[in-house]
Amino acid sequence: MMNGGQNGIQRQEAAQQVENAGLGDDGRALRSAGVVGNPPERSGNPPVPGWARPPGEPLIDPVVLAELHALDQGTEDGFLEAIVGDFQEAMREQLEIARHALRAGDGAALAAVAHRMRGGCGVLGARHLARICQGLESAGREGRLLEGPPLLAALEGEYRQVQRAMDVEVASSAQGRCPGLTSAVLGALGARSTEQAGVLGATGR
Amino acid sequence: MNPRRVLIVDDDKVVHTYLKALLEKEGFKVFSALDAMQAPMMARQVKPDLIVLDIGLPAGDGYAVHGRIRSMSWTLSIPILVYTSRAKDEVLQHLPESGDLAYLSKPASGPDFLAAIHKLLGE
Repeated sequence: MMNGGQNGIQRQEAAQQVENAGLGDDGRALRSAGVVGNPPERSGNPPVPGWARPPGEPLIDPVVLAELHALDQGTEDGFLEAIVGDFQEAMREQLEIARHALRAGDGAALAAVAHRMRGGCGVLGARHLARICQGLESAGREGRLLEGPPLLAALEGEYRQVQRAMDVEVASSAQGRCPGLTSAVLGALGARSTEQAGVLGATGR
Repeated sequence: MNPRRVLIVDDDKVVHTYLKALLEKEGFKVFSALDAMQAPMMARQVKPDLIVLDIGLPAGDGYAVHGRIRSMSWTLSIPILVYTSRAKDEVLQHLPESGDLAYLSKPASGPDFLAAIHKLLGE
């Protein structure tokens, strides 16, 4: 059993962790929901291991990406655009559910939504994003909710990069299908591509 | 020759979009069910040559869907590919592999997925 002093230190550490993760409102709600105030009993809070993508690992598995492009070439109605759109819509909804589950201190709901997110990441070859989802799923299933905020922050950061990379792939695919297309849409995507090219280049693709 | 028909039972739109494109490119006609309630009804209506079945589903689960499909005379012999990210051991405790049921871990590559489909269809 932990004494009151240790418990107090854990609460402070957890509150700091939540603030550091940039989840201020969630953190306050987490505390008021009793999640932060009642951490699982164990000997100290080991830091959540780093969730940065390993150096040299691409955001999106190039083999999967090649498969997706090959499927896109066989369709006239923009398969890649459709699947990326489905993925982004699902991620928006599921990230919101994950935030809510953390606020409510609901580990089972957190595990369930992380599992769902992992499925879509796997299909699109976002391997590291899928690993973070798996970490969040385990944390939720095992009641390690203090690890939730930093994991969710890592997930959101990685997702933003994957999203940008996917937008570049969709734009390049659309250009391949309609080489003469230089509409405002492609122009806008192209303007964002300069930044995205950096993201992809950094991955060694 | 009529195209072979595949019913995909999965609540993940991304998985649906991907598998539909993959299977259609291979010449299959694809049908979709998004939850455990809809799946047996779709199976009875469509009478597919094969069902791709996820385990985690809204309104029930893949185990229940399997039970319903195997209990209806029109659908009891349809081959089922259980395509899920759940651990194989866990799934096989409920659904032992047999000639008309196989397990494939999600996500699988396109070629691995198609190989599993063709094998289950005896091709």
